[in-house]
Formats: sequence, structure tokens, C-alpha cells
Amino acid sequence: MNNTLVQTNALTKRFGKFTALDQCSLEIPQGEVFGLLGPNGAGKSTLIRLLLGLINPTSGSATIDGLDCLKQRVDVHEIVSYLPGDARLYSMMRGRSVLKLFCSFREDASLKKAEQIAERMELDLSRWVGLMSTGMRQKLAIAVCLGNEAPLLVLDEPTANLDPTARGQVMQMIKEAKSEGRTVIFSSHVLSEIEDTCGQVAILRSGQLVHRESMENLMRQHRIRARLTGEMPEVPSELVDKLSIKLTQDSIQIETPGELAGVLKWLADAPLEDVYVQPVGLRSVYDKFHHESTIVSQTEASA
Amino acid sequence: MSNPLVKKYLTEGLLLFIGIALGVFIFSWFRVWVVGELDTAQFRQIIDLLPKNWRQFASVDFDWLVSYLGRTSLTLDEPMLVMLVCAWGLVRGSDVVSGEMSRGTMEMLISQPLSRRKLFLTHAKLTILFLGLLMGICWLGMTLGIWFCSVQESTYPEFRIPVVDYRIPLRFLPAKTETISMASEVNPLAFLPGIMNLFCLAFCFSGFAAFCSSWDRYRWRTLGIVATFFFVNAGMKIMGMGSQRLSWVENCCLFGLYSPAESIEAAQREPWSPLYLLSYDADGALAGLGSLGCWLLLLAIGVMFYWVGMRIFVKRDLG
Repeated sequence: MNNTLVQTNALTKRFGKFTALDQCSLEIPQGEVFGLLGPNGAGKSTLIRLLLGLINPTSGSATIDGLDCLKQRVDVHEIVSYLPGDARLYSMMRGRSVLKLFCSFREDASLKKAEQIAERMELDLSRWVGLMSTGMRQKLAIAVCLGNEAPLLVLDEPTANLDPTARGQVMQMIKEAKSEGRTVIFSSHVLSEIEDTCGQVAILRSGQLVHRESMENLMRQHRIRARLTGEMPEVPSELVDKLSIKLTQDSIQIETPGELAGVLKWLADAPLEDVYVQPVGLRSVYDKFHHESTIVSQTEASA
Repeated sequence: MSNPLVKKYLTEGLLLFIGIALGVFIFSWFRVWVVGELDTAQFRQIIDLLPKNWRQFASVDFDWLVSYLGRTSLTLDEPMLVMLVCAWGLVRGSDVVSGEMSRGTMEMLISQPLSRRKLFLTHAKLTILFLGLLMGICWLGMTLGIWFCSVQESTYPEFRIPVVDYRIPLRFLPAKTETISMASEVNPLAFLPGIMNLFCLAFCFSGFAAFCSSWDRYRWRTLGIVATFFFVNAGMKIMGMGSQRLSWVENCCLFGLYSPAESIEAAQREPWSPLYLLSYDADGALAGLGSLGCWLLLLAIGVMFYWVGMRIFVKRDLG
């Protein structure tokens, strides 16, 4: 059964000579919390805006639930609720009026639900938007975005400018959305938030989709660090292609893609002391693509 | 679904509308009151003192101009009133896209299930509707001014030559002053062709402003462009009127299609003249566009600006 909700096909966006997104092909299954990672200017917001039909692709296409993101964008907006990265609302309105206004645009929106969300984040809705702090305005925008039953939530850095309590609430609400069967696309710079909530993650760099990983798979990956007291035995042939080894004169760092049993068996007889085994985590994967020098492949190390 | 949008745009434009409406109403009334302060005989003396070449600045006959209707009709030619009314079209028109983008609210708004076309058209409809209301308020101001204004007419005793029924005013005798209601001299319905002309002009400018807004992303820049466009057009009109050699310039600007006093005067002479596409001079030669021709051309240019603006907005990148 094909349960893909979002699909992009060689999606490209250029602004003059600058390529903001390059040949991005992606599939996001229904009910998934999908994380988008990348530094500023990596193309996350461009990808999101293309999915919303806010900007026109230079080439390629994107669909959400089979609907063309550009040609059928109003239908797409019926099933998508979007929180922009720099969400600004009407400064001449009070918080509650903003909620009322945006709830009236959508048939699936509920003012009561939006108010409850605002309450959870301890937001004073009687205040004029123009007099709200950046964090308060972000909370209001989140209440607007989550105060409906849209099957797809697209959140561009939802926790930016929020206090830790509100951040926690937002993370909790994303988990609740997942438990309700809704799909969430979630871009963030905070790796721990992605690790906590996402089922899959995509890493963008300079407009290119450079890596895609399921968090389940990532959690199986481990890093082993140890002090070397002698010469390392040869890597077993079945592990040669799987391991990433960084070797110095007196230390070794090994990254495993999954199953640890074979590696541990190999290391059992190795001259090692102070052995630490830890999950690789998203940080390592992120660094691998954005600071490649920190992890050196086995080939490079031996060279 | 568009009702909340209507409410939003109404809320945003209400203060501006109230301000402009008050200005238009007070100015229209005040301008008519000023006319009433000067009786026709005195005004004619002032007009007679003006250099002859000043007449070229007036598109209407000076003899008609000294009448109460002529002078009250000039209210619609007052730069203050024209600017006030056009300001509504320019300010609201410039807000539709670049205004939202400048405030940063466009992304949130446009990601709702609303088509860009509906958004643009709803804004345009309200701008035009309230422009119509402004015209009504302008007419009301002038009408109330006429109803509540009385004028003092100085008349000299006359010597009548019996056979030819020719009357000679005896100006060496003391003048007799009588107070009459201006309503007895001026029918407010006579202003309607001029009011319609002003509506069409402001509609055209609002279309231009919406067009500029549709491709821009900074409101201040849009406002700068549309204000410059307005004043350049006004300047072209003055230049065209001031110099015979440059009279063609007047035909190249939007203000060249704006002559409310002329259309009111024409309607006085010929009640059906507001419905003429073309106008002819006394010899029957084609003189230019008639009142209806001017209105339709202004409306067509405005519609074209709105249409192109909408196309740009629908196609352009936002965010």
C-alpha cells in the first residue's frame, strides 16, 4: 500500500544564479514526523515554501496527497497547516482576534482548540499583537497553526524564540499530532528536538538533500572510543565495508552502522583500554555532512 | 469564506476611510460656503481683472464659470479634494500585496485556503466600494452646502428700453442687496457627471497602485512610486494647459481625462451629453472624448492595471 503523503521530484529553485534548492527528491509517508535539518541557507524554508506553493519551482514538481503543490495550492492549503519561520501577525489586533480571524479561514479550525493551545503555552490573548514580545507572537502563531485538524502540519522552526517550558509544550503537541495520525514536517536547528520527535530526518546542505535517515536506524548506530595499547588486529572482512574507523597512534574511534555483536567480538581480543560505547546520535550525522573533517573514513585514515 | 477577509480589510482601512471621508465632507461643504460668501457680481469683477491668458487654464467658458453652478462645480477641480479622494485609492491599492509583505503577514495569510485571486479581488472590491462611498460623501457635502447656504445678490435698478426690452443696470445708483438660498440657483444633481469623473480618475489611480503593489515587496517604495506617478500626471496636465506648444502633453496623462467642470457645463447645455463618447466643437468637428468616453477610458485603464496586477500576484513568488 502506498501511504506517501508528500512527494517531491527533482524539485529545484533558483533565485537568479543562486540555487536555493537543487534536484530534491523526497517522499514522506503519512503519519510520520519528518525532520528537516540544515544550517541557515541550506534550503529548508525554500523546500517548505515550494511545498506550500508560495514560490514557483524552477523545475521539478511536488505533490501533497496527490495534489500538485503549485497548480492546486488552495486544495493543498485545505490539508496543510503552516507555521512560517518568521511568523508575523497583525499588530493592530488582539491575540484572540487573530485566532478568530485565522480560524474563520479554515473549515477544520476550532477557536476553542486554538485557545486551549494558547492557554497551554500561557499566552495572554487579550494583549495587542503589537505589544507582544517575539516569543509571545511565536506562541500565537503556533496556536493559529495547531488550532485545526489539518492532516499535515508544516512547522518551520517552531520553537525559535520560545522559553523552555513553551518548547516542551510544542514538542509535546507535535507528539500528540503524531499519535492522532497526522503528518508533521518539522524544520529545526535544535538536534535534540529532532531526535525526540522525528521518525525520519533529512539533511540539507547548500540546497541539496545530502542524507536521509530513519531515527530508528540512527539509534542502532554506535560509536566506540578506546585507548590503544598495542597494534590493532586486522578488521574482519565482513566488517571492512561497514565500519568507519579513525585511528591515531594511541586511540581509536569506530562507528558502527547497526549490529554490535560482530564488532564487539572483534574488539574483544584487541589491545584496548578505557572503552566507551555510545549511540552515534544526530549530532554526528549532522557533523558528517556539515563538518566532514571531524570524521575521517577508513580509507582516508589509512591513506 | 471571504467574509473574514472582508472584515479584515474593513478593519485595516476603516480609520483611513473615516479620516478621508471627514476631510472630503468638510472640504466640499466649506468650498460651497466660500462660493456663497462672494456674490456673482463681485466675482465677475474679480474675473475681469484676471489677465486674458489665464483663461486658457480653464477648460470651461468663463461666463459659465462666474455662475453659482460654475463656481461650485470647481470644487471638483480643487487639488485638495482630488488628492484626498485619490489618496484613498493610492493608499489602499498599494497595500494589497506589498503592504502585507512589508508587515511580514503575507506568508501566514496566503498559506490559508484562500486563492490569491480572491484575496486580490476582495481587496479591490472594497477599495472601489469605499471609493464610491467617498464620492457619495463628496456629493452630500456639496449638496448640504448648497441647501444650508444663502447668498447675497446685489442688483442695481435697471432702465428698461420698452420696444426692444433691453435692460441697462444703473450702476451709479445704490445697489439693492437681497438674500436668496443657493439651492434656488444650483441643482445638486448637476454635479453628478463631475462626481463620476472623479470616481473614474481615483479608480484608475487605485488600479495603478494595486498593480505596483502586486510586484513590489516594500510598501514605502510602492507608495513612493504611486505618489510620484500622481504628481507627474498632475504636472503634465498643468504643463499642457500652460503652454500651447506643449498642449499635447495634457493628452498623455490621466488628468487629461479629468475635467469635471467641463462635463457639468456640457450637461447643462445638453442633458444627454454625459452619455456621449465623443465631443464636437461648435463647427461640428471632433474635439476629443466626450464625458462617457473619458470615464470609460479611465475605467478601462484602471481595470487593465487591476487585471495585470492580479496576474502578477497569482504568478509571483511570495515569502
